[in-house]
Amino acid sequence: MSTGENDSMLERAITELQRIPAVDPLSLRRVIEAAATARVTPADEPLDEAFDRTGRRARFWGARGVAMAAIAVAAAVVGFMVRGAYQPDRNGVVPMAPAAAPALVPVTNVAEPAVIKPLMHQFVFENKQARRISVVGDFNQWNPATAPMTRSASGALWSVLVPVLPGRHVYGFMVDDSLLVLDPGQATARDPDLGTSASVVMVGRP
Amino acid sequence: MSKCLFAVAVGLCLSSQAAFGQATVPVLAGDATASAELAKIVAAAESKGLPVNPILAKARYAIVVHASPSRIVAVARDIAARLEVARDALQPRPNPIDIEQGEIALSYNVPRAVLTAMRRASPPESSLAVPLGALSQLVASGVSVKRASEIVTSLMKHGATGQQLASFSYDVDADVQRGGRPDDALTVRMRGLTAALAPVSAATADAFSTGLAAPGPAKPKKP
Amino acid sequence: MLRHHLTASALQPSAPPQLSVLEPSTISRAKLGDIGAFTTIVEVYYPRCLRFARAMLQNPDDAEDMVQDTFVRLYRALPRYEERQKFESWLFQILGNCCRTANTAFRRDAGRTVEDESALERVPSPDVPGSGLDGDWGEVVRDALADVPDYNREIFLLHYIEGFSYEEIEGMTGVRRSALKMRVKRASDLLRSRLSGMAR
Repeated sequence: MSTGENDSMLERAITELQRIPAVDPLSLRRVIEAAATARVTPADEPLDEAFDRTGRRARFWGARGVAMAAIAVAAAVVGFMVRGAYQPDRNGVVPMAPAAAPALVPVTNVAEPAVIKPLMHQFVFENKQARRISVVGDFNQWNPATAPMTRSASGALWSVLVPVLPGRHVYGFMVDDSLLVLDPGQATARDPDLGTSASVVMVGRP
Repeated sequence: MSKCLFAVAVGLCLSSQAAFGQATVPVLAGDATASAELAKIVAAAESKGLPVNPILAKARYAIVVHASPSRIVAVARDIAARLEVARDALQPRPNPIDIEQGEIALSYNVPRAVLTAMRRASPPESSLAVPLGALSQLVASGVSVKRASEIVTSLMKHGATGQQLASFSYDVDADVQRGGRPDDALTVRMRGLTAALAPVSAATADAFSTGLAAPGPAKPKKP
Repeated sequence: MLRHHLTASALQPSAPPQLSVLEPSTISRAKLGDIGAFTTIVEVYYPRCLRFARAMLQNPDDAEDMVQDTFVRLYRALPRYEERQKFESWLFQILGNCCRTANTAFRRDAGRTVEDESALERVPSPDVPGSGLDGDWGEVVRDALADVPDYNREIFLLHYIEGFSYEEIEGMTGVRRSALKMRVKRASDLLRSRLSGMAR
């Protein structure tokens, strides 16, 4: 048999192997049920095989990065003062309104919010392909317009500093205004109301 | 130089984001009735002096994850109810941020009595935002509500800082993610944190971890 | 003379079938735990996964089990899925791992002894009508493919049947491109040889 005939036979074999098999709908249902059952277990182990090769890179910020962040924070403080959102108290500590929080209506048995000070929290995310990324979370009401991230010089790391009030917050990254992605480097938790997952950040006072 | 200018621009941008404040009730596309209902829930919460940020944030998040309008309204109603319970549980002068964090704890089935016990276990003016957040995260990680409540209350009484509580809840979650049993992870991490909390002795830490020394709610301080 | 394992024009990797198109928001929603979105992913990818697993494992029941295992693992790992890797590549990476592990386990457990009577029935015999040698081209192809070693067969299937480029397969398996091409060549040569032998 000639090489050409053999190749033709191989081509026919490939066409045969490309045929999509018939699927039993019950099998699909079993898969979905098994997955749903597995996901409710709190100890969701990472999938070692799938992550071994991708790996997670350490988020190391060198002296230059720290200096740039410090300049950005200083500029933010100036910005707040210019806008009157912040007024230094006697100790030089700057109380301010919560980030992107709605108006809080004080009543007699609710304390003024000014005593709680937000802390600047840096969110970092790695993505080479995206054109735009924002951090979205309960601290900015999931609004991508309020915290757009800045791409690093290498083009892979995106970061933003956001004032976040102490406590537990859930968040994600909005990639190209359409895809909500969880933070691969952080804890995730299931939303008790909606059953969905989100990344979790715990912001504590120093 | 250009990088410095860029950093300044980022900072100014941030300040404008943080100063950005007045949130509006999201419109639920294609469902005017549900939108009106949501606005009504927010207005009612506002009139009661409750923080409405959790309702608005959850509604926007629900929109992002394509929850149905009826579901969003139901969830908003639940949150409003929990905010009210949290405020009452955290008397005498609950901070709005504490109410928000208390609402999250209630959403993970932490009993109202635990919130009150935590309030009593700490100075009246101190914020409970981080302890409540840590409690919610421990429960979200799979730790039983009872154990998590006992441990967080104990740690607060023994002077754990917000940062320590935040790290504690992260560490437990990380251990669970690595395959550890939630209550085991809690016990192990509790030992480490207790050792760092002078003057609590290691023996007390062991007693906490076995549940023997888990204190009940502290008595209210005399005025 | 060196015989090319493929003629350039004859064989090209198949484009993934049209049914594999997913909205990015579906993956995003599934990442957040939306079971409806996950169901869509299963509906879109299950047939292709089953095709691959059957070719890797031969036994249809084992193939179904492995596909189910793959989707369960996928669902649990979804919150940690990173968009820098193509979703489809990630899915087939998990499936490939499951099939490899299963093949190793089956070999370890069963050795070369076949005790399952139904499995014996599936082994083709030249004396039995309908065994794959009497004109059932599908059976012929599957029998020939079964003779190709797993490590070559997997790459052959990923490239020619599932339509992944060598670059993508390199990212999925960690095997260098030159080695991948060699594996596909060896799989193609063996398959061709078995098919021509059966056709003779």
